[in-house]
Amino acid sequence: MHNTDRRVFLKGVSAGTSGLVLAPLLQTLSAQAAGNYTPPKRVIFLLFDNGLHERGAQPVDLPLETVSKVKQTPLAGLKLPFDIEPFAPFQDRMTIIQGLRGHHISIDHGGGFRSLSGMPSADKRRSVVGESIDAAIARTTPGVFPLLALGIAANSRGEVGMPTALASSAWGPSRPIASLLRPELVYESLFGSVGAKATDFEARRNMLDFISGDVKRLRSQIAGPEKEALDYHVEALESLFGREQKLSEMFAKGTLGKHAPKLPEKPVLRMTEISALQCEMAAAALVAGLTNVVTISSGLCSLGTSYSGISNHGTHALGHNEIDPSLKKSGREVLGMYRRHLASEAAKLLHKLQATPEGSGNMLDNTLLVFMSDGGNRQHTHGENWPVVLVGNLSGRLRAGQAISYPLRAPNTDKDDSGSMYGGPAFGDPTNPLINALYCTLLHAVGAPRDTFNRAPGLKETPEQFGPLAELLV
Amino acid sequence: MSILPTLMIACLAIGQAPEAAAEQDFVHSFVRAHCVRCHGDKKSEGELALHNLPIDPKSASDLDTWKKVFEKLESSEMPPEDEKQPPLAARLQTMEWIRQTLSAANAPVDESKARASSRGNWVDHTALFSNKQYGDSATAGRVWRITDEAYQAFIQRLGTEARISTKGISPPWRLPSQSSFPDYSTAHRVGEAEIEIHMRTSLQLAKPIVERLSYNKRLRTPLTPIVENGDAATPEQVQVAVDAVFEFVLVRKPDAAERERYAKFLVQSLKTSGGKQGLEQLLVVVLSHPSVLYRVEKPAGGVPRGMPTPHELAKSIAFALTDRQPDELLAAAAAEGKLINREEVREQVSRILADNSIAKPRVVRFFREFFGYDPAPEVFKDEVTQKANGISNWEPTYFVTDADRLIGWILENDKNVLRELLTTNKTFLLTYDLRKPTKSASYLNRRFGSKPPETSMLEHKSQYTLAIYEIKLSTRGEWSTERPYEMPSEHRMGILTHPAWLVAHSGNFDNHAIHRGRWIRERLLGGRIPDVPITVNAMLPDEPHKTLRERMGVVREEYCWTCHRHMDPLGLPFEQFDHFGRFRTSELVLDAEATTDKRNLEKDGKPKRQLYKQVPFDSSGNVEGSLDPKLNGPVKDSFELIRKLADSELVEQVFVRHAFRFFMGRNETLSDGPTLVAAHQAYKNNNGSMRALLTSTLTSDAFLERTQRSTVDGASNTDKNSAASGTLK
Repeated sequence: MHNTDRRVFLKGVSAGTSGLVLAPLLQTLSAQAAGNYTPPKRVIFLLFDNGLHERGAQPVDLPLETVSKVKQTPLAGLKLPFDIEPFAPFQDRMTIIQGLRGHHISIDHGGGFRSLSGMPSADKRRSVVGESIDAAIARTTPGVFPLLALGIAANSRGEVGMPTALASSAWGPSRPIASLLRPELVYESLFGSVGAKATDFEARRNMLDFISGDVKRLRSQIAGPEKEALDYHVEALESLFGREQKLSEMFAKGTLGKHAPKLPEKPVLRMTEISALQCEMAAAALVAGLTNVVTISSGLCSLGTSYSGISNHGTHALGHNEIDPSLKKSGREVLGMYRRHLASEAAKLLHKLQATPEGSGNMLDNTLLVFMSDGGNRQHTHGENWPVVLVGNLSGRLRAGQAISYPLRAPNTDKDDSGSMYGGPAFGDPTNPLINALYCTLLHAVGAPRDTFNRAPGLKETPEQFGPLAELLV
Repeated sequence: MSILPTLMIACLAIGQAPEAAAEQDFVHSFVRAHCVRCHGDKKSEGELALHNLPIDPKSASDLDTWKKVFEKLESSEMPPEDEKQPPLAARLQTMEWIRQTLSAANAPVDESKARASSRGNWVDHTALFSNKQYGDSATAGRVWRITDEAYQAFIQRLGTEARISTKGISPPWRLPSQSSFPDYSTAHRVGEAEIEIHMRTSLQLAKPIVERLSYNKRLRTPLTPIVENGDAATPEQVQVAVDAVFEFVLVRKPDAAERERYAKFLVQSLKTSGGKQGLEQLLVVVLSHPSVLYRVEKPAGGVPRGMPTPHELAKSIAFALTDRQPDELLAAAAAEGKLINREEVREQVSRILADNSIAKPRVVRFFREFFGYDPAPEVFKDEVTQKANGISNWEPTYFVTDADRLIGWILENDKNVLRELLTTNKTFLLTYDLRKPTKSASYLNRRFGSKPPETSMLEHKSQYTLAIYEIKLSTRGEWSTERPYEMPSEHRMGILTHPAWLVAHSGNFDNHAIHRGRWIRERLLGGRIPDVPITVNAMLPDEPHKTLRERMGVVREEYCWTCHRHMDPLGLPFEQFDHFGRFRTSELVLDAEATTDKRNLEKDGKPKRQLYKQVPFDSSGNVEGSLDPKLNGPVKDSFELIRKLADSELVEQVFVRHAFRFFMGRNETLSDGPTLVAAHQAYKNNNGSMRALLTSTLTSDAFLERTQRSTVDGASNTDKNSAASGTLK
């Protein structure tokens, strides 16, 4: 549709909504038509287990060498490595970062809630000690679903898995956000109303309101610290109540039906299928304007998925570089295939955003994908290097098209003992920025700057190591 | 300016009441007497100086410093154990002052830390078992989210009663598998995702129930008139329907206020959605009642302190032992208005505990979490390591299920339970997972054939598991999952030498002597080990040619040894076992010389393979600083250590403390002291009976009584006045 025609069409749509509270999407469309539209900034986190090896992120023709000063290299013309090759169509808006550190959060076997909060916790990785970056961003740019937390947790027995898990995200200490693990349940949450009647929304609101009354009544009689659990419960009910209102407005305009993806007839069970569907759900939710922040954690930040569809060998064993006897490939090679698969599904998501007009460009212009492991460069990492791949520049707020290497000591050899294409780890200098610095940078980029992000007291690092990355911010 | 003048100026400036000034004076004296010598102007250990710390802190750094002081006092890390210790009451009074001061400055201490099960031992053990009453032992009114297993059982019960399929329904949450107690009443939340899934499940149950009513006209139930009449249903029909749904879901009648509210909801729903959907909505909201998702425990009748309603109490008893809704007799007792005094509760608790036909998975779960052997299968051993150690067919899941069965067997005998668990050389063999009872038969059939002949050989691969136990069985006729077998008594002594525990407390490539020692220090000696400082990247040197004890030498430097002295000498005696749980007489290390010998090198100079050799190890250890003088001193190996532990009353008391935590879902406080003493006495007086211990705990004030007062949690949870009045001095 020609831009001018589109504006006229959109004006017509909004004219018919007088008397109604405008839905966010409708407001967007209306603003677009009026020509004063500022698109929201969107961030997608795609986390995975077993590390992102430095060579899996390093351009093939850019040696992973020891550097003593920050080095920035244009990505143009460089060949992406096997693991992230599916991002090649977006190379001009990509950034590859080497040398960020995460030693302070003890990320052996996955960082759990520490991955996205950057906060150390003495307890198990299940401790929810602070706000995660996706939640912090979601607060600044809330959609109908402020934060869509999805998980990939295929079990090796090929059975239908659990519906939810606490994995990656939290609004704050002891306030975890459950990730939805089954795409059909995600569909129900996002688009389940497609076949509904208009009165269904009111009925659900009535039920939520009534249930909330029961919980509030009980809360007033509870004296112990468990009262916090009921506060959380009430807040969740109220949030769902508000969501129903917004969904009903979108339903009335046909937005949900228009963007609802098709589900397979039976629940999918293999990791490859689950990840593909979760990315599809994420894309649909973003395009429909249901959310601006998505986190997909494959492995639930703790080796919590099989790699079915790629390998039937144990996830943990592959991280120890065991040979998959069926594939006759080393663990690290299989992990490369796993990461490539996830990159490929993420790339499909990005293509969908790119194909969706927004403002004078497309949705991808205002979106950032953060593609990284939940713990650094390998399974048994000590956070010596945390490679990250970014795709997108958030409306030009991030300096893209470059490879940034913070000071690091390159591995001694290009090949490890097994003869694998991957070598040993690279070691970021202790004065390098922490992963928190990247998160802080993202907050600056979405317009909610902080001096530092989750700087825990007692750490010897300077505030600068938690602060924004000058090399990345425009 | 020293703390004293600062304090005085602060008092004069704001014209404080004499009591407040006295409190500050007390705190000043405390800090001067116990802190400033090492953290003052002349000496500031750990770069911490307290001589100038304002008594009325305002700046963030001063508030942080007071927080640090609070944490060090709370953990009893300070004063150091070799310094003169302040009386408990003085410590508590100082902590209480800091707590209030920080709270007034809008920088409160993080109370949630003290609620973690890992902080349970921070309550003074001697004071707990002094048999003195410090404050009210009733628990504050609370909720406690039910477990995923209880949720699943609840859904299945509804499905069975309503004759509808519940296939494919999963609980909205799952408890994490952890070695510590993960299921505290404060630990879990119900959030948006969980509510959404639960409401969908509720609708999935409601729809077929209502559907059947609408098409089966011969089926006359209290709900039928609602479906037939819709919004023309009479008020009586509406009330009958509400009562029926309550009975079906909550197994009780609504009270008058509930009946009115739910009836109003139903009437409204019938108006807007019609008979079928209106009824579905009623079912959904009753299924979302808080008492479906939580154990609810509050004083009945709104009194400030008292027992919960019989119905709530019945659920608490049932969930404590069986993780299920109350059985028929317990539900009947509640319906008859019993369970209103200790004796009536005791009758039900004793009945359930004595009846071996009633599954009590929570009791086995307590032991599994107490010993922390559940994660054994998750401790990954890679193929290279297995091969180097001569291991094939590594099946650690059996160790867990075998240990579970052993515990169940010891509980059936119910005599000297802890001593038996610490000293027996018995184990069950190749048993299936008791937590999946429905799968057991098919699992066994699949594994061994539907009717394997008694003389058939046990599977070849099972022999590797048997070899770890050092038990030889050839034919199926010699093998039974129904009885225990004996491991060599000279090589095994209790759960701490069972492969389940040894593997769970091992690493990927080695034993984990530090974890093992920490477990003993905390779980059996009641000790407190501070968290690893966040600046420490805890890892041993990668020196595979050295024994573990040699590699652990790095923690002997003073900074590390302060804590490691309390763990490592307790864990190193278990070097008698390897990290696969096998008894050994020597330790396998890399033979660096042979590996780099030119006969083992490729042309490019790299070794063809790594070569290993056996070297002697040292299994000696030491118990230091325990509250039981008879325990302290060197031990030559794990067996001597275990014998001493099994003989110790302190160990029994610490075990009782852990049982209290698990079954109460919270840490003990000083006010729980008499409850713990009574439980320990019950255990001892009944020949080490777990049933007696549990009966005592589940009939204590802590379990039976609830208050509407807000309690201060954690180590210092005590009646401040009683502490300050000197009852602890």
